Amino acid sequence: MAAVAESLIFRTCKLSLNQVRNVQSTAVQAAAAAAKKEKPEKLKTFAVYRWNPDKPEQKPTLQEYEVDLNSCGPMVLDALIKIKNEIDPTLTFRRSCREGICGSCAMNIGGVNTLACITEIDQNPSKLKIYPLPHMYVIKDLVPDLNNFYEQYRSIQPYLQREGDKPAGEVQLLQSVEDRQKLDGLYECILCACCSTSCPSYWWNGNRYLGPAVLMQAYRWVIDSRDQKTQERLERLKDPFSVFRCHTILNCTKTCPKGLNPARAIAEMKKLVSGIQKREEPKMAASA
Amino acid sequence: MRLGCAKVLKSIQHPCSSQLPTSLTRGKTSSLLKYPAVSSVSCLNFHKISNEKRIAPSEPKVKLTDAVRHFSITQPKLSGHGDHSKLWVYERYVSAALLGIVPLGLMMPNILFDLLIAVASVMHMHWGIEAIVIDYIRPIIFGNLISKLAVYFVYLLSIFTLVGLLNLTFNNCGLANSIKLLWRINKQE
Repeated sequence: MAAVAESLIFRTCKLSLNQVRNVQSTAVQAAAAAAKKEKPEKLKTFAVYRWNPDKPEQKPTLQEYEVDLNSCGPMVLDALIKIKNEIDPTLTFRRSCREGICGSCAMNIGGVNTLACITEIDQNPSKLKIYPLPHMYVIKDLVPDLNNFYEQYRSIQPYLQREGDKPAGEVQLLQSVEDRQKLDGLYECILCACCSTSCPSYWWNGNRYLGPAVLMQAYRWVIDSRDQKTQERLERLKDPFSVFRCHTILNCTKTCPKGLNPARAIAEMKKLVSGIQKREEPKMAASA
Repeated sequence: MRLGCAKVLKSIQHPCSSQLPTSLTRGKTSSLLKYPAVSSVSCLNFHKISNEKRIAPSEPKVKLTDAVRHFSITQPKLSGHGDHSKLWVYERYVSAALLGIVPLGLMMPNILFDLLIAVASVMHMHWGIEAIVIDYIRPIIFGNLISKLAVYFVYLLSIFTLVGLLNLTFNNCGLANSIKLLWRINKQE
């Protein structure tokens, strides 16, 4: 009998002990939660350009979203993804690598063409306006139509061209260290179109002027020591619009999110096209 | 050519052509030669046209994506003709030369420097204004006529300016001297 009573007491004690422990742990959790909540919400307003192609009669508008920066990543793209996930799933924008190497999330943030993924959110609570790349046809919201841009890129034939060479893949093409260095600052371009769409000349004559991004790539292939179609490449750009519509405004260099200098490339290109400078001879024969 | 037409007929498989007896389609390929450039053909027309006038259905030219892509693809023709590379070099030379000609001409007023200043500055301003007009009065906004007229107007303006400056040089006290006179406007003679 005594043994039974003892075990009962023991049980109840254990139970209550567990309960106490439970209560304590929940109390700790609650306190932690409270502490978390005490951290004040840090709201920032994002005014985002919205346009829906399914309702073409509605004019484009700026829609405002409030985001708590304390529960949001540091970059503008994080905020956009948070808005899309939690507030408005209809918000449309391009994104892919989230580390500034794909060029998908190029947009006009606070008046500057840049990549949303490598632009930090300004921590002060002022409104941040986000537009698609300027002066492009908009497909939806922050998604511009880049067909023209890509078509122009195609038109400069951005690949190695050689005369009467062995078929590709048979031998290596040699290049001296100095010749390779000429491509630095050119090959890094990710074709995000930030520079081209910041250029007034490209705004006004985007159908005829190639724009800084494409011209920089044209230059990259013109000065590549392994390429042998230099003259043909330059001939194609002699008209009054393709290169010579550049008025040296330098918006391209100012805005480039990769820190490249398209304006310099265009200036070099003008010199080469007009013939006041010749491309240097390769220091090393490409095919040994 | 004949082969080409037959190929076209065969390859596209127009819904109407499949309804016609094959002998008919084959026999009439020669008459197609008369209408090589016809591009749009509707099914209805195809039935109505008599054998002599039959028009080959051309390759379907409108794709579904065309409505989207139409406005956005660069036509190489648009980029203009001609070689601008030499003119660009002359522009640079004139701009650089003006840096020397203008101060020299003002320091030593004579008819040769006056002429140089007049011609070089008019050329320089003409290229500048022409670039602005081409950029801002462009066919896509103002239409072909107005944008072309605007460029002609720039030429007129430049000619008018040059004539005025030459008049000043030959029939007046000279260009550099006239500029110097500006500083005397309010002074008592």
